[in-house]
Amino acid sequence: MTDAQRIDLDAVGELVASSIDGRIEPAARLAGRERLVRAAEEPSPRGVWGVWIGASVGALAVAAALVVWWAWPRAAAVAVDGQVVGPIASRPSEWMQAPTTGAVALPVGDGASLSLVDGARGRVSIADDAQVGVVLDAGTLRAEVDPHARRQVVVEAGPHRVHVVGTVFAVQWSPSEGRFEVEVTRGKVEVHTPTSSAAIAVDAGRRLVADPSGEVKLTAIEPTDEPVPVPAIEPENEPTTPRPRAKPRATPDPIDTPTWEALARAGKYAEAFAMIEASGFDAALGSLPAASLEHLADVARLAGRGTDAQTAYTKLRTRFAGTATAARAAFQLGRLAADTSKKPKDAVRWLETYLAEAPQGSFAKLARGRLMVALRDGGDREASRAAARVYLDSYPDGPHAKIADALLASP
Amino acid sequence: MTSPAHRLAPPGAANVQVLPWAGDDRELMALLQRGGAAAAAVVYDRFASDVHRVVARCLGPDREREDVVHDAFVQILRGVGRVREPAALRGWVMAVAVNTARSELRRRRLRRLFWSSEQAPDVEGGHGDPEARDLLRRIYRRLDRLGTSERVAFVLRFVERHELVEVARLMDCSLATAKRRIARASEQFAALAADDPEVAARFAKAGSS
Repeated sequence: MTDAQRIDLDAVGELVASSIDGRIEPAARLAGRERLVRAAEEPSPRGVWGVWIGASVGALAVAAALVVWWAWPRAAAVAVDGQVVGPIASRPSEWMQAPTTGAVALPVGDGASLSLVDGARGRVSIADDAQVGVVLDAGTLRAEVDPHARRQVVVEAGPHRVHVVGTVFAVQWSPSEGRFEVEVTRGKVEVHTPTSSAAIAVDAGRRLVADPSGEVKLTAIEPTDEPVPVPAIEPENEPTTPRPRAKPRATPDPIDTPTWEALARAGKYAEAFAMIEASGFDAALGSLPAASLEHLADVARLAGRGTDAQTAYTKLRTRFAGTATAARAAFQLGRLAADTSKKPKDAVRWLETYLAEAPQGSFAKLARGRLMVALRDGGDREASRAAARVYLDSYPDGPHAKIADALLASP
Repeated sequence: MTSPAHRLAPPGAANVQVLPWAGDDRELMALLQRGGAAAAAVVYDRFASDVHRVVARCLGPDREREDVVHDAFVQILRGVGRVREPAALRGWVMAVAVNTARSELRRRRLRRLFWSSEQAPDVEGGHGDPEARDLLRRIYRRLDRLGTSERVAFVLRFVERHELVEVARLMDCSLATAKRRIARASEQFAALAADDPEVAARFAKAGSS
């Protein structure tokens, strides 16, 4: 019998396959994706010969272009809806530009209406039986897509891509500022943006904004009954007096029928919480969906009702365990334990829970800073110094950096 | 609506639901051939797990694997214009990933030839089970002693569980060459494994002793 016959190679392969299964840590996935996107944005490196060859080819191309330009009939202007708006690209017949004020429809056929507005530039990159692709060069594109249409609609704007499920929405892209924005009025879109490892769903009434630093934010377009999650608040900006979290309504609520959500939007947290209590706090804890319950807990916290906020966040964690909302509730419980109950050890426990459940979450920076402070306040000097080192490694200019420096500098 | 595949929130995002790539390979091909940052992001989303897995299995889970995965994706973005059929895209991507891992193994082997003190990178991965981790380390120490082509053929056949025809396609060789490489890799690995009592005991076939 040979060695190969004595050793079970399939079992060897099985052990390797189960040990190395292709799962990528979320942070590594994000880092790998960003690295590739950066590489794709950089010009490909060329050696000395490449530069010389490139220069020679370029010189020949310029000479040829000059000859063609001299001989070619002048037809560079673009007619859009009967208006001449001027040449805007090397292949002007494919590009369209809206008048400075007004709109122009892109020719994409049935099932979708896509318009460039107020000087926006764009083109249809593909339009066949299966799909419609539009490139937005700059400005605003408004779209209305039949959700039952067979064709898929994709809008590209810089490095961002909007996959349309069937909806009414607007895309805005400013290449000079690197700012990208999607507002969804009806239905839903999925946005692929380089700093996210996969698509981000944007529902009706929401706006997604991506800035050049890679930060992506979801906010409400207009106040709706659906609450907006509380954004991360830097410590130095933590409100001593609560702020409204959304724009006021265009048409105010009728005076005789205010809702607690409307009062909260107006920054009247105490009144909002009084209304919640009047209509049954315990019942709300057991019946509200996750987003509304999170809003209710935030209102209780901002109204200064620490114990009630704690109850609501704890309920969130039991009713919606394992979700991002539950993770955020852990952060808020840590914040309450530190600021309201003055129990730093409880704060440490909750903040560590949050960081374990959402290491890349929107509160991660704050949580690491608060964890360091809570460890210090709880008397665990060594752990707080270790947390300070971790903090400074990750956020050297973060809001807790001075506290971290002081902790490490003290004897 | 597609169900969420990951719950990775980008920095600053609140209440973000992350979904897998929803388009088909035809749509993806059109995007890739236009190039740019969006294409890079989408191709990474679509193939990161597959490329990462095959590279990590070929190399062993060492510290440099992220660089090799990145190199593979750069090659994919550069060469995707050569793919004509959307149905062939995934197979081509995997062949590029295998070839990139193979080049890295060759480079390491050459480096070890000239700098004999240089050791193969230590295995750091595997699951929490210390016994499995130790076995994994021992297996890769033996795989380090196979020829590069034999090692890759071994991984594709016994770890990735590909058919012989697929091994030949991924390694860009004839079926006969693929068979020869697998046979040689099996003999060499088994002989090396037999010298390690722990590996031999763990993977001995029933009734072979």
